[in-house]
Amino acid sequence: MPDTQATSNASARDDQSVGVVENQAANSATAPASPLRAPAALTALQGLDFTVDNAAVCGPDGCL
Amino acid sequence: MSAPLKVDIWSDIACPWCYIGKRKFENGLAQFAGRDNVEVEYHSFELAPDTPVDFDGSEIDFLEKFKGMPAGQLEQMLEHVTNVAAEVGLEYRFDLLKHTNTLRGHQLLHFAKAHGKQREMKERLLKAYFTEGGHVGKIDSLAELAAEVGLDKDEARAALESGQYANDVQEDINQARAYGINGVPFFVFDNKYGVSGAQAAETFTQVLEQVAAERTSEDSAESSSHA
Repeated sequence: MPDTQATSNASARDDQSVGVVENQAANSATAPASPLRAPAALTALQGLDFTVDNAAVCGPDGCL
Repeated sequence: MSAPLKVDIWSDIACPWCYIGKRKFENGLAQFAGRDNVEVEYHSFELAPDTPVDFDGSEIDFLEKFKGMPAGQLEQMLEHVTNVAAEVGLEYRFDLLKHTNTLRGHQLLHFAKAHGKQREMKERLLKAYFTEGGHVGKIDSLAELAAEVGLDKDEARAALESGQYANDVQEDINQARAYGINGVPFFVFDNKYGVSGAQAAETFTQVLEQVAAERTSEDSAESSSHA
């Protein structure tokens, strides 16, 4: 089970970021190629669907 | 010195990746130049709130019964996570593990936080659960573990018996829900960035460095605007 697989919201799934949750505004074409993308204020984080793609996480359905 | 860089970590006690993630984060933090100005706070997350305090069976029995997973798959999963744990110096003993409800354990962590011992208590609970076959759901055993990290045993027991910190646990869980966190460990840096999972230590170092760099950049911009 790799430790550095991507975990991000669905719209950012192709960007190879590393386990980082980002807000919708962070998905602009100008965002730097880095695990941390554009700033996401605390309020902007709320309500996002943090889809766990895989790896190194335990959720309601068990540990991936 | 500027305000500490805050790292809020949501995790459960009965969560193998949370202990591994804790150790990897600590290893990443140790490589971060600004490590002396980082404040870490643990928050409660219950993966299986329906778990009984006393479960009569093995970890595989529990996961089969409550998660509906096939035994063969579970054996592979536990072997894998045991091996990953060993890579970061942790000994996982699923053969000894006593599966239990972690609500009281989380209340104890809040009690420990109120007395400045949360990090020590977190480590002690995880070691007891994953390595020593300790029971982290019963008040008696939790009070003993509290005493081992320098907390007052009787005060800890009273806090658990009264449910003094039950609301604090629930507030953590509510905040996790508000963030959309549905898996742990989950790390929030400086109230801005969420990082999911037991990432590599290098990743945590990189995240810390980037958050610190952004702070420096923002401070410079603010200074310029006032010049």
